[in-house]
Amino acid sequence: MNTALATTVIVLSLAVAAWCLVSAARNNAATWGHLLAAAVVELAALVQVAVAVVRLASGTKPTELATFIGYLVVSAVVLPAGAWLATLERSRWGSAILGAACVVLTVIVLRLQQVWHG
Amino acid sequence: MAERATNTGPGRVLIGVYVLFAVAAGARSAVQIATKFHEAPLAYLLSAFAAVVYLVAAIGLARSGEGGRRVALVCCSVELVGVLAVGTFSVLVPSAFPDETVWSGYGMGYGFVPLVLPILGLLWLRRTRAVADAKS
Repeated sequence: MNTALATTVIVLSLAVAAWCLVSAARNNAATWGHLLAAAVVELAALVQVAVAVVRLASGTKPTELATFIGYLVVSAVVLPAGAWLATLERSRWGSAILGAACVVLTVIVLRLQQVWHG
Repeated sequence: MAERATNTGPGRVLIGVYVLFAVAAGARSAVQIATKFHEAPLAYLLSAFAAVVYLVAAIGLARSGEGGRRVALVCCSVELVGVLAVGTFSVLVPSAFPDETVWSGYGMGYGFVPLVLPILGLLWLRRTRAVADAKS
């Protein structure tokens, strides 16, 4: 896996997570700004999924292939799911959900790296 | 409605995390049971069981109301007992768990979230119940 790309996703994700969690702590609901920032992180995550799919298609395979694919799928859907819940919940807890989704994405990207390198 | 719904505010965060853990533990144990069940049957079955409890807890919280609340209460209690029992057991008899479960080491492999989650769930159920009592 591309380490620079993974690092980019992690840094962006943690930055948005911090923003969301600070907003939650200050009793602010998630705004369009939060969602836009999450969309940027999602874009980076999708680029990573595309790169991984190309690598898999060209024959490089991690030992635990099924686990890797599972993490890959979750890495693509966790932020949209979090954003959807955040728009349903127009309170500080919406920001908390979006922040939590970003933290989860960070963990998943780390796990993707571990599984890929066996 | 006599009581505060369990599926809004912090409850929605809880439901999100519960669904996530149901998917994570469920998918992982499904892969493990399918590919290497003989290596650690107890551990993999426990993870699958934990996944089901997480899913049912999420449904209970999401449905809210008297029935949903009771389902969530049972699930959170089972989880708390499960994570404490399996956690203690895995520390005392590590050989019984050649591979990790969601609950071994008190959920250490999952950032102790499996230990914190049922406690938060029970607190949330109590809080929404307290609102109900105050209103009536």
